[in-house]
Amino acid sequence: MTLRDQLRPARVVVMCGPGGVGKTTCAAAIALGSAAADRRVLLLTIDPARRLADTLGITDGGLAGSDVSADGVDVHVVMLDAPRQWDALIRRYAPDDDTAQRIIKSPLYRSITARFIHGHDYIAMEMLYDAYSSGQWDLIVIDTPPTRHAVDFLDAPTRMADFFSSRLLKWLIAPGGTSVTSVAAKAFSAVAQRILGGQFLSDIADLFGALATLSTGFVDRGRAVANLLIDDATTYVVVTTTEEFPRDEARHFSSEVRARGGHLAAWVVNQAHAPVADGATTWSGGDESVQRLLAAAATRERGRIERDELIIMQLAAVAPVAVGYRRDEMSGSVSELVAFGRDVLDSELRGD
Amino acid sequence: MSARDIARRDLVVVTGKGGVGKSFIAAALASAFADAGRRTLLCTLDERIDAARFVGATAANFRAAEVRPHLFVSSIEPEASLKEYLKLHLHLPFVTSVAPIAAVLDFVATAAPGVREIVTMGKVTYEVREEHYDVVVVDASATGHVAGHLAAATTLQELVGGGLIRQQTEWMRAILQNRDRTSAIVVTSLEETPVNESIELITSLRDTADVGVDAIIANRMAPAIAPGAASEDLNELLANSHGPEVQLVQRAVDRREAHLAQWHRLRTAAPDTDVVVIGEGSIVEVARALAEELSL
Repeated sequence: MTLRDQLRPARVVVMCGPGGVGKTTCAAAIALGSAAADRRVLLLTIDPARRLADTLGITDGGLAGSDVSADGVDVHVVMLDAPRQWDALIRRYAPDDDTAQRIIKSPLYRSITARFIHGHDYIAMEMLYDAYSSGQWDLIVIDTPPTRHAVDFLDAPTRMADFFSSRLLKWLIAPGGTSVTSVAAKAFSAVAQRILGGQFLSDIADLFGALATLSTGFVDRGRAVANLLIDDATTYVVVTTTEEFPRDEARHFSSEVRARGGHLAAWVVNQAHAPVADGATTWSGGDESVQRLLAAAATRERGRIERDELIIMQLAAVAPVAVGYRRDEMSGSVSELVAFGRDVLDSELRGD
Repeated sequence: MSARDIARRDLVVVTGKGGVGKSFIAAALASAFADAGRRTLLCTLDERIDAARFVGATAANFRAAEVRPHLFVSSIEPEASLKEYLKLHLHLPFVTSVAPIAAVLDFVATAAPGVREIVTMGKVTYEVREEHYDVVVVDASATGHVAGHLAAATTLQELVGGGLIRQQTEWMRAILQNRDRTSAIVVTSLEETPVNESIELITSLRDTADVGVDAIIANRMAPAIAPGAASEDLNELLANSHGPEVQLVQRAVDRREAHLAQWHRLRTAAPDTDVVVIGEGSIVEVARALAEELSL
């Protein structure tokens, strides 16, 4: 069984894991490695490092995206651009242009969409849903935002729905507090005033008052997106390295995915040190002291390989593992990414 | 500003991309301060990335605990910070229990940008203001979030006209933007993407958050393979020898060279910031290396 076999039934692959493990590169590699002449693949990427962005031909982060092709495969790439996509979303759900403008022009809107209810996470899931329901793609591979808590994006659609149906929101945007009679509402408004000041509070109330007119759209879509995330069509791949912290994060993440009813296909253990062939070594040249230093360096390297192998075995007890071996610094060609993707997809899974 | 200025700061914010050893360096730096006899608080802003475990604490709580002489650890969780904040600042007559108020504030913090950051950074700067410690070392959130944390006071001050938050942002800014008292350290590994992000982070810390950067720590530099031997000799030896050991040594050589190239790139891209190179080692070794490099 290979990772390719595991992913075959999926229409959506969610790539997740902690920062700094090469998640974005793995997502691109898996998208490229999965593409075929008769398989249309979309890659939704979040924040690729410069070199990867160049490789993928992402120039201005345009919403339209770009196509990458190499070795006869073709992948469409779209990068998340949260501010622009928020604007598009507001325009779509707003009952009229005036409301959309009122929201977009609010002094608070920009900083709120950047942060509130994990705006990034919500937009990523929103884009996924859009692409999925368009029916244009045989496979969508989505990279996930580097969140403080790895599972935030999973909860973003539900949180969005909760936020808009919350009682507190109704209290906050009640005009002048006059129509609000309950003691709890009064207490809320007194505390909020005391902490945030009257002006800020009325700015917030104004913005959310306008946003609330869009809430049916948000709530309905939020639920639909949440359902897609646990649908049979969706599968998760957790990327980690053999380092302790990413490993712990990946474990935590895996159990959160499973607890929410998501289907975890496999882990990709990335940047592992590849084993070397057995055999004798003949040194020609160098004095004894240099050869001793080299032998010590070789022993240290062997230690890294053995440590990685041991950890991979331990991880394979939790979920099937595909190994992404460390390679020389990537030169930045698409075919290199394709080759990496095929390596990861086509090697036998461990612990399966 | 130079790396040695770190020794006289009151607040040192340690940041960097995930996976570069930021928490480890924060813990080693705090240990080094404590070893130099300074009363040190090591605090983490993210309970899942726990710097405290590197200094032998099983878990860090909101209330600071002394793990060894002069070294205290605590975890600044937003919720506990909020409770303390409410106790200190909010004297509302009808408050009988904190829980419902916390729910309200939680909601407001969700809706209003920067409120959560103000509460956690508020706790950190409060410890500095009250001078409970000689130095506070913060294991800050990873790249991207940290500028937001540090800039929260300014952002909110621009948005908020009055209220308690406004008053708080004023004294917080006075501490965070005072270059004599507060500085940031950016930790990076010597790989392409972390180096790029570190360079960007320094700019955003200075421009967006108005916080000074004393040093970049280039962490886990690979050691030289045969320090006495000339590299041409070594390359020739490797080219003429055969077998798996040669392949292994070649990997170590390549890694060392890649790290040196990134180190060079880092110094060229950030000419005004000191780059302190730290090798692989245990917490004790790294603390000692930092103490020496920074003259603690």
